[in-house]
This record gives sequence, C-alpha cells and structure tokens, in this order.
Amino acid sequence: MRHQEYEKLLFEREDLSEIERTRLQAHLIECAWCATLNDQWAAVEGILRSAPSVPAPQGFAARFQVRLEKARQRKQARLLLLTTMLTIIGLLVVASLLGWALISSGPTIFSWVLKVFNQFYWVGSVFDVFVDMLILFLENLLEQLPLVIWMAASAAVSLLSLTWITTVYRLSYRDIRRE
Amino acid sequence: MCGLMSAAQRLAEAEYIARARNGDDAAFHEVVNAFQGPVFNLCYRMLGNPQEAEDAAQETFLKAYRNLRSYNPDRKFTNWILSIASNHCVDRLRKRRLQLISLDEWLPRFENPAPNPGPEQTLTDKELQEDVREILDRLGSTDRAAIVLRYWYEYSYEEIAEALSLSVPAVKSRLHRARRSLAEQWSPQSAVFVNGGV
Ligand SMILES: [Zn+2]
Repeated sequence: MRHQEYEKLLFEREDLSEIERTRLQAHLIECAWCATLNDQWAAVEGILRSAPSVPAPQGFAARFQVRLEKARQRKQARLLLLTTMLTIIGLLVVASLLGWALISSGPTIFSWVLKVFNQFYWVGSVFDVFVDMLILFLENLLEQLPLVIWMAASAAVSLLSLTWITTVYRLSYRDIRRE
Repeated sequence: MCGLMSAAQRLAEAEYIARARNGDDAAFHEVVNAFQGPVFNLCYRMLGNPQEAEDAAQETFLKAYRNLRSYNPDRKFTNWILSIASNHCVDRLRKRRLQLISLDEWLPRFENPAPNPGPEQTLTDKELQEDVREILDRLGSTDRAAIVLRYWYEYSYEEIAEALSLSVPAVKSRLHRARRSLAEQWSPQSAVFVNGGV
C-alpha cells in the first residue's frame, strides 16, 4: 500500500476495524512520512477534543425575548402597510371602473365636466370645491349609472373596507409565525 | 460533549417543544433556555467571535420560532435547531468572505476574547480556545461546520450529512480533506500552524 491509502486510515481512525488498525500501526513504525502526519494530526485532534463547549452569555434568553418582540412588531407593521396599500389600490380600481362607466354612459359627461369647472371658478375654497365635486360626482353617478353597477361598486368598496378592518383587527393577535 | 440527557429531561423537552409548536410562547422560552448552550457554542466555534456568535444564535432561534410548525417531532430537536444554526453560520461566513478586506486582518487577535471569561478560567483555557479558533479559522465554512458537529456534538456522518444537506460520501471526503489539511499545516516544533489560513 502507498502513503495515500494509509492516510485514509489515519484520518478515519474511528471507523477502522482491528485489522486495519494493526496494519496502520505497522506502517507508522516503518514510514517516517506517515508517522509525522499522524503526530501532527494527533496534536490538532487533541486540541479539538479537549476544548469544552462555550456557554451562552448571561441574559441570552431575555435578549431573545426583546428581539422576538421587535421582529413581531416589524412584521405587523409590514402586514399593515401591505394591506393598506392593497386596499387603496382596490379602491382606485373601483373608482376607475365607476369613472369609466360614467364616461361611457353618454354625452352627459360633458355637462358634468362643465358644472365642475363652473364650481371651480366661482367657489374660492379648495375644500368647498372638493366637497361640491364629490356631491356632483355622486349625483351624476346616481342619475346615469344603472342600479346594478351602483350596487356592485358599493359591495366592492364595503368588501375592501371590511378586509382592511379585519386585517388590522387580526394583527393585534397575530405573531410572526408562518401559518 | 453536549449530548447526554436523562430520560426525564427528554420527556420534559418533548413536552415543551410540543407546546411551543402549538403557539405557547412561554414554552418557546423554555426551548431557548434549554438549547441556548449548544446553539451558542456552535455559532461561536463557527464564527470565532462572541458578539457575532450571539447575533447568529439569536437569529437561529428566531428562524426556529418562525418555522416551528415545519419541525418534524420524529426528528431530534437538537439536530433540527443545530442544522438551522450551522446553515446560518455557513451563510454568514460566505458573506464575510465576499467582503474584500476583512476587518479581522487589521485587528490583533487578542482583542477578541472568548465570552464570559470567569475567574475559574485559566490562561491555559484561554490558550486552548485561541488554538481552537486558529484551527477552525483555517477551514472553509462547510468543512468547519462538519468538524464542529463531529467534535463538539459527536455527530455521525449521517447526522452531519442531514444537517448540512450533503451526501454521506461528501461528508467523509470533506472531513478527510479538512483533517489532512490541518495536520499538514501543523508545525510540531512550535506547536503552531506553519502558514497562513485558507
Ligand atoms: Zn506512509
């Protein structure tokens, strides 16, 4: 056998059979190269085997509790942000669909736009403009959109709001575990 | 070194792990108390620095908490959590290696003592810990994890393979390579390593 094959025995000593162990011992007596490698490995392994386990520092578990709480809060904040953004996007989609339905309902849209510009011209306060625009918008919606679309839009808005409220409510109980 | 445990302890452990899996936070606190030692030691041996080891050990428990439902109770809990810790440390070491200049190279070694050196800790203990770090520093991250699991946790080849997602022959070949490289670098005259770490 060449050095390489004995090296295998040398570094896997814990798995050796009695015969292999004897063969290795015999080789170590006659081969200076393998004997040196054996001594060097024995020194390194001796250090590895004699080093005790290092205990966790004092207060480790308490610091973990703090970290867990912070992680939980971060996750809740992220979920809240995500749900709010999705709700806003949902509301925008509903509003766009309503707007589109309004526009495609006929030429009356021009009269509506005209009314809005009139209001904008005569009313000084931005807030009043906003409120008036909203009222005008809703009035026009009621006049021009079929009842079915109006009901569907209300249902969608209610559903989105309900989802958002439920999520916010559940967040106060939910932790960072993966479900 | 970290493995021995009585039957009663094992039973109590199984109970609070089961409670923790069902969402009992107090039981998870027990889990942290019971396993902080082995987890911290693994991180310390892997990373060689008490501050980073603490951070890695805390992250390990956080990952365990998040994934507790995926833990299979038929498997030993120690093996499961140490597998999380080993992989987390391997990732950290890989990231550390990606940094062009390691801060460690600029700091003298003695600025990084072992944690909590109690009054009972003698100079020989410190030297021993220093030697261990020097040895482990010479190994790549996965080889280092294999050596730590083998020598501090008396893991079988199969257990190391499972923890590090390797095949058993791959574990054997890694351990062989690591041992050979450490033996070759050791200088018997001065009882130190002869050339720079890998
Ligand atoms: Zn030989």
